[in-house]
Amino acid sequence: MKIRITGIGAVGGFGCGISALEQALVSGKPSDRIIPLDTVNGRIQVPALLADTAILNDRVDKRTLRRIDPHTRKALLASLLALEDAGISSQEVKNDLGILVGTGYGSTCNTFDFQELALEKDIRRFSPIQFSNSVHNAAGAHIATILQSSGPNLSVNQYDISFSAALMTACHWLVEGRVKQVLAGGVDDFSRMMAYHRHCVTENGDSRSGGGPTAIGEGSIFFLLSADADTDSGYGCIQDVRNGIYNGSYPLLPDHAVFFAGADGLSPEESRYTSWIGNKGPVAVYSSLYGNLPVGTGFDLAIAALSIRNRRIYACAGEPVLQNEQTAILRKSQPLDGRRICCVKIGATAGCGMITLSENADEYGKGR
Amino acid sequence: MIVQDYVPVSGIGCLCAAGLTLDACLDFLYRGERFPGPPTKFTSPFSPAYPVFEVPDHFWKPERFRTGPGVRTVQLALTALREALDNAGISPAYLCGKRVGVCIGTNVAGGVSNPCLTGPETLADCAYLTPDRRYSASNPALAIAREFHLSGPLQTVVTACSAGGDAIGLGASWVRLGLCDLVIAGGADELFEITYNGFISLMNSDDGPCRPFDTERKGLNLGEGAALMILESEASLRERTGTPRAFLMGYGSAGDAYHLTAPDPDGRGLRRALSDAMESGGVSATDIAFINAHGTGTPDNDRIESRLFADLFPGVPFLSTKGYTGHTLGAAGAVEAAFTIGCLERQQIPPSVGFAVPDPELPVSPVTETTAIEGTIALSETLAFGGNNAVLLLGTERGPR
Repeated sequence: MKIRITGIGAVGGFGCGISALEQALVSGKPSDRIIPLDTVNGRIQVPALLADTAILNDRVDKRTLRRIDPHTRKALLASLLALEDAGISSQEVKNDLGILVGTGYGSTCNTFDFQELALEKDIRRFSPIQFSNSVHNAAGAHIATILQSSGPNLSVNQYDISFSAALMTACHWLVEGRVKQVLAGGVDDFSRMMAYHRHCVTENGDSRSGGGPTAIGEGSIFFLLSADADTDSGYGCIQDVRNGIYNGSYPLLPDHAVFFAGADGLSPEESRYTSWIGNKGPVAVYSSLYGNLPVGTGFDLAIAALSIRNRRIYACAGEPVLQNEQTAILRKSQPLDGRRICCVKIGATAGCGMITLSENADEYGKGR
Repeated sequence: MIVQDYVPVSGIGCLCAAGLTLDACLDFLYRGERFPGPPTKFTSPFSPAYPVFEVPDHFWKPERFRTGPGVRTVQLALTALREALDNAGISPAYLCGKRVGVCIGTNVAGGVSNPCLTGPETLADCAYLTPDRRYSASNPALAIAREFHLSGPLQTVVTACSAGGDAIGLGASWVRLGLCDLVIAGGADELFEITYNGFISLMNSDDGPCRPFDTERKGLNLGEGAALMILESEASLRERTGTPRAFLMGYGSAGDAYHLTAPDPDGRGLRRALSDAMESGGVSATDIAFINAHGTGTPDNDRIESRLFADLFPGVPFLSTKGYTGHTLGAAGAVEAAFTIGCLERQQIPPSVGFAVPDPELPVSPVTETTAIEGTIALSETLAFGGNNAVLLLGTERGPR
């Protein structure tokens, strides 16, 4: 069975929509800005890539949005943009649609605020709506409600391999015939905790890679996946998805491929990219466009899909965080030349994820 | 929905307030006992406190584990897993070199959202821990993979109260699709101050022992626990001459698409999840020996389940075990699936404790005494915040096919 990407919705510091991501890719310029953050050690300044979801107001009525927090807003907007990109209405998908959401933090800001209330033991300030939205599957639930989709709807969480975990299950649903289409994606908020961590790392001069950490990002990325052989958007077919933890050996990489590494300069094990990829093929890093966030692999997959559609591999954006003499970093754009694109992620918790995208010919799981 | 191959369950481990092993839990259920009490791990802002079902502290035996203790949810999961491996006759050494996946449902531990592990940028009394360390300390799937040096697929399902059931359903697909020889699947959750206060703020908690399906029901009591299953391929079982204890025959998952905290009044998602589970297992309603209901004791949940049972499974006995265990949230789907298999093996179901007076609004009511069952197939279902519904079709024989 071929699993095609038929639509992509992207929301991040680069803007909203797949065309905004493409423009950022072509320009190669990160759009981060410095924001203040109050901490126990005083006010600090951190670079951030923040998402603006204002255009969601044109798509969903105000009454519904009143109860939806920023975390869900991002996911909802990205999922609606994915459907729009595929050129189909929510009415057309309904009951044959599955929804899968990966998130590394969950609705972090909301949850953390709620925890602070809990720590104060001030039950009178507990808001039922805030509590309801603090569950990690709130985003998926709101998407299903807006789309009126009663198909399977799961949320998964595996820190920085959350996206590949969600995508793997999405592909399984299609293979098993549970649904005909899946909206699979990821969402994460700007994390004050990670921003503080980045500050501590850079203050200590411990950037853990050659180029220094990327800005802290936030956003959401969704893909409409279809097992329908007649649907071809040009974004390519998902050939394989793997995820797990590193325990001596990483999954075997495909031949004749370009590798998109999810390095962002903050994960402690990023030096392992070199030993995993070695000289299997050229490596590109785009994290400076979307920032450090657990579901960043999803943005790499979107860039891979754009590369397949445009038959062109884009140069790394900004100064690549992964720098090593043994790794062939892509500093200039080059033709795709029929190669597969393999998005790899080495996670902070020894997790690893791998997603292989090809132009057309491969069936899902073939050659595993 | 395509009819799926059955996936053998070769081992089960379970602990909750009803007992520290699956057998102990079942014995407790058949005695019809329960001992809810005030929370002891945190202070309730209410007096008297809303009751909970805690696991006694002595369950954790650190000398049995290589990795650090982690948070309580991790301890619960590792403890249940030890029983499951023993039950399957699998030594930890046997797992080396096998393709072993881990798929765990949880609510509290799904991420970095443990208050002891968050907030250094604002809370002076919190020790600084890097985000990856916080996550490592709180995530049961990761802890299991590290404890046994596993490198197969890893997934933490965070669909609130249906997470444990969903995790078993997903884990089974990894076996079926040939991704793994074995999958460790189930759910784990600890009692947690935020969920405790959150359910009270939603007015979904009963200030006394919960009463699922009773006309006076007022809501749930929270509990904690874990249940883990070893899902194994037929080839792996043959290789080590293992014996299946039960089979996961089908799995259905569907959303209500209605409301974040209230179930669809017509049970739209649950109806579809039930239908998908039955269809994927290739069975009909007449094959079902009993149903282990979600049965939280909340007015809406119980009403919808009762109406669907009357409509889809007339005459099939059902029960809720939450009166014995409390609602173990992300663990509930797995704990109750373990109970379901145990009841099939013993060919009887315990009384639905807490139920006394039928609700005239409910067309059918749960069993009130230990009831003999006929058949080898049963359903275990969970409903969740977000409108998630997960249904597992479980059997102790290879089924009618």
